[in-house]
Amino acid sequence: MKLNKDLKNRIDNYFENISVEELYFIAIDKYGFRESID
Amino acid sequence: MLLQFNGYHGTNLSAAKQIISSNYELSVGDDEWLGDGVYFFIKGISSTPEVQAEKWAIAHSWDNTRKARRYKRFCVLSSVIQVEEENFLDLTNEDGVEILSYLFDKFEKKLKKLGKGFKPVDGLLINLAVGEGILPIEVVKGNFYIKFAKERIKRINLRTSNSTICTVYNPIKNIISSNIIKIGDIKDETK
Repeated sequence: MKLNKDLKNRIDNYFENISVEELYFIAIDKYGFRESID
Repeated sequence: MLLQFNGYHGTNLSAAKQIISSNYELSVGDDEWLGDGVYFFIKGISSTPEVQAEKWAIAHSWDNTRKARRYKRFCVLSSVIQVEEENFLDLTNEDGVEILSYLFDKFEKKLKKLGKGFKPVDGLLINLAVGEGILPIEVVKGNFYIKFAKERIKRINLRTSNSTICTVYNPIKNIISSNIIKIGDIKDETK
């Protein structure tokens, strides 16, 4: 697997089409990401 | 191009019999490694991944809370893994690392709009990429430092990788066959 144009577009499209709020919810609640506070 | 290689999985005898009769179950919660999947030792840093799988099964048998063995017989399975190159993320080379870095960069930039920051955790990023269909990942390979019995007992904790690990996210599709190649008793002394 290489980071070619198609793969870049695929990643870009996902993050362009999802709202910030939805991504935040998915990251925390669905995948268990933990917020970092400096 | 179709890639095919052997993976070695260490476990207990009853789990191995279950795997042979009805395939693997995903290991969930390994967010520090490569996410939710089936884990194998493969050739890479070590030329004897089958020995590492055995050592892992023995180390994993020890329940440190109860100070007792979870099981007394270990088992090593050899599985044939098949995956198309475009579905194989190899984190032991520059191409694979570049993909994961690009993914995290986009993830981080998006969430910065909320003023939020997240620690980059490989396994969680891979879970996100697989679970949300962002990347067509079926199998991932990476190098890790694995603590076997000796390392746990003597508290050896190096940063230098000693194992090449491969994770399969859809065992029904990517694991072609599995065979038990070794069964043994676990002795209480660790040499």
